[in-house]
Amino acid sequence: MVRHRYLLPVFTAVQALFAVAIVYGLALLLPEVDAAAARRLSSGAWTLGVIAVGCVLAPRVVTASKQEGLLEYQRTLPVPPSALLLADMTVWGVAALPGIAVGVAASVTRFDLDLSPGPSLVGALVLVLVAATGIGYAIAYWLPPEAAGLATQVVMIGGLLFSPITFSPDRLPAWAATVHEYLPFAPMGNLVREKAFGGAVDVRDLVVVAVWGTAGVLAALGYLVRRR
Amino acid sequence: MPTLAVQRVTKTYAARSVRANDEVSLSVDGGTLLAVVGHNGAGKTTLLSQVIGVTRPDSGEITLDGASLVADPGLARRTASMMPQLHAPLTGVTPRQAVVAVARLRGASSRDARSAATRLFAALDIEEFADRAGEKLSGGVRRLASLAMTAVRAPTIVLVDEPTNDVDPVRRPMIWSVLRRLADDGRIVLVVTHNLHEVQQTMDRFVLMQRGRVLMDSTPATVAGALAPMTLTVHDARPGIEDSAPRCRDSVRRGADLELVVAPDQVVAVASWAVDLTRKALASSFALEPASLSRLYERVTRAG
Repeated sequence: MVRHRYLLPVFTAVQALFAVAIVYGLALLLPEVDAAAARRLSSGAWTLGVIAVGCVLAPRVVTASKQEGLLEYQRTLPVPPSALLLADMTVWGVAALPGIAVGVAASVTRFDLDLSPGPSLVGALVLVLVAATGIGYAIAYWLPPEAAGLATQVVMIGGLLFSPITFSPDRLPAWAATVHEYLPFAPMGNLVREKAFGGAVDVRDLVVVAVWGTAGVLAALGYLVRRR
Repeated sequence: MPTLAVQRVTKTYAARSVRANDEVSLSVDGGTLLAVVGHNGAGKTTLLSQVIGVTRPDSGEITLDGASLVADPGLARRTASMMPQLHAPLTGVTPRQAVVAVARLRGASSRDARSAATRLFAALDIEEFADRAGEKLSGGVRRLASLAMTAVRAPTIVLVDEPTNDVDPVRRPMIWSVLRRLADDGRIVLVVTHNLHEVQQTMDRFVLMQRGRVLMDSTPATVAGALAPMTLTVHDARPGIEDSAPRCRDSVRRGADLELVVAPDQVVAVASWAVDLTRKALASSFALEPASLSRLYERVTRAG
């Protein structure tokens, strides 16, 4: 945490800008923002903020750590690899919190929301964060730095522009909507939205996010355990 | 006393077909300060990486008191600490934060960690840098901080890769003092270094590696006494004067200089011959020195 103290305000600022851009900016593109659209934009802003931290910002920091030799050094310390990963995920979880809070504040200010937050929303956010960070770490660990940078750009562009998180999947061609049902980002958005507004969670969304998260975490752990 | 045993360890990296370690065997007891010397690419760092469990041997075994460090890399991490070849990363933290954090990971209380860090900073004379941002420190100070991270609450095995690189001449002896103390406390200390003068001055034992193999496993004192007692270097020696040299063990021409390896009973004759050469202006000067590990290293690796 000490090592990343200068990054945390940057993360918060990026997430806040993200949230404001989505809640205020994307809303301008819609002819009419009804309650359903407001929910999508709001929860989408929070979800995209978490995806940005887990899948883009965290992997970039990890890539820098790899290049600097920090990761190699950490592997010589008397801690199990799982503890290294858990510690990092905790750091990124804490890093994402202020951004989520700013996103919620922006949404409540902009829209008249009927939020029903509870422990299950916290659980959904934790699951999404773990899954996003797991995917991000797997990318950063296994890919060379240049490829990891490119992959995080693709994730961000794919997640922000083309995933049905801030808009309904009905607007996509049927095949694209089907693809997104099995990619992690739209199900992440669905989970957060349903838990934030008291809706019923689709089990498939839960399974898809859990499977991607488990795969990401296992891949990241596999890299840490691996010996040359 | 603990014993580290490396038994016929072989490692080949997939990207290269060359064996980084080729049937390396050695046994080191606690209390030993062991230097691992050899050319770049001789396999020294690979050996250390295998001891701490970051790299897995293709074959062979590494044990500490009979317990396999190859089969249990977690045990390797708990029983060994390593100072990497490139100093430990300090970006975003001060040396004090880094050393205290490592001490805490090794089980020290917050108070003990802080006092141990302070003692090490004093021993390495880097107190004034202890609370500065790591990324703003010079290479030498980073290396000293890195050594402090390795030495703080050190486990049984201490692995140190080129500790004196970039470090000023005043603080270099402090590094060896810290390592000496670790060994005197019963630890097994393995130091990869290219500085043969420091090996000769400070180490209990050295292993000379070349192309992944152990060429020599000896002590500086044994080598200096047995192989080449003195070296006479004649500077700006005229061509052909070697023909008039008294009997000696070996002679080598190095550019304008002529080097003679001289046994103790040959010293007087050779020295008076060299004096005569300078009087007759057949050479500009000469120097008579005790045999050095550097000379031996050069000869053995050339032959190997």
